[in-house]
Amino acid sequence: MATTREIRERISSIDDTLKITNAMYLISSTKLRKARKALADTEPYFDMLQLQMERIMRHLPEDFTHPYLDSRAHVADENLRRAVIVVTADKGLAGAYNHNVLKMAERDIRPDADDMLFVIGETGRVYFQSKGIHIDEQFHYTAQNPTIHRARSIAFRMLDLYEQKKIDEVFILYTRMMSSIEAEPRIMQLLPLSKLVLNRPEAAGVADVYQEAFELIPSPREIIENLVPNYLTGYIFGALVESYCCEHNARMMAMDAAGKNGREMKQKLSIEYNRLRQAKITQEITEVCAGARAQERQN
Amino acid sequence: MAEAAKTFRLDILSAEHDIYRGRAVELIFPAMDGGQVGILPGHAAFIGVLSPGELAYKTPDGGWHRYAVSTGSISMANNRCIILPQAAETPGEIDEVRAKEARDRALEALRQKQSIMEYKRTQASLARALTRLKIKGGHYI
Repeated sequence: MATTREIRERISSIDDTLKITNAMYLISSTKLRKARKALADTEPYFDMLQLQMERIMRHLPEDFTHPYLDSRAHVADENLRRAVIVVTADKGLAGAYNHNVLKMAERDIRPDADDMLFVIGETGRVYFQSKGIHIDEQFHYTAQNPTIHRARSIAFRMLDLYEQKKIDEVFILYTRMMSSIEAEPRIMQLLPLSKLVLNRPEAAGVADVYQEAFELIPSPREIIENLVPNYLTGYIFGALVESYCCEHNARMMAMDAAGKNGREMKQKLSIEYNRLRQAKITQEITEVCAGARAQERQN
Repeated sequence: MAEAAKTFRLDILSAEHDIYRGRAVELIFPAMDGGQVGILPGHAAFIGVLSPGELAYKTPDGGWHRYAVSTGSISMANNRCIILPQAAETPGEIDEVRAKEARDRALEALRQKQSIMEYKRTQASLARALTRLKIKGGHYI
């Protein structure tokens, strides 16, 4: 059986850990609140942008073609070079958050093909590096505090590679917030654009509604050229913010659970400690009494 | 003329927050070709591109509101105008020092050899910085 000193040491070490989990819980909850607000602020813009994009796609002339819409049909499916943006957290200790994303990434990435990995967040980078999977080194973006600026530079990078025909498809793997306690990793295709806009389930319903005629000013090409980077930026920003929200939600829950477990362990240990201490005192008293009695007899 | 016909619904939503949701009597936005385009109630339906520049709208009480906007889209349908700039700032929100720094950075970058993509990007950031400074009210251009 452990000595009282050992138990005391364990209790104090649990206390220290509890301090950490508690602090992380508090930090995550403030960050979550901030991230939630950012998400709520960008949601109307993002929804509108999606509607706008659908509208534009519906009103494009029949014979309109543009590199952004080209699905590169001449390339066989297995030869399509894909770029995948994987959004992970910068730190661990966030429950299954990182794990879920990485699991999904492992399942969907074909290391033998020419897939390019763009990883946001330190955890993902370390993971893929340790697995020996090649990732793009010049892609150093943090998952902390997503900004529209960061989203824009990511979007431009992707469009650049896409235009240079170094990649044929762009995907983003992020975590979607289903409800305040449920999150789920999701993979979305960003480019070519037709897949992103037209494959949305909500898009199907509006087809039979009366549609007013729009004039596209100055020209469909100019509009696509100017709005697609915006749209991508918006989409990536939305994904970053949502992932960030999920990360902190997951961390909050993980830290809450850790705190609970810690307190439970402390409770158990302190009972054990008290018992042991009591047993020791009892034993000492018995020894003292026995000693005294033995002395009496000798006299 | 009915009261509603003299105004139109205007929604300006930037990626960071909602700028304005309400009625407006007039709107002027920066167009692709570098000029300004005015919108009055009952404008024909169209979808267009917003370029970085100065956006102004007049509310029914007669006041003009000015913003520095970055690229985005604009659409008008059924007397409802939706503007989606990536960012929009009032003169009060603009950080003059930062805008100046951004302008200098862009000017410096333009002097160096760049790919077409980089060139376009610096040009866009220069345009953003110059708009900010212009709206802030100095004479920088």
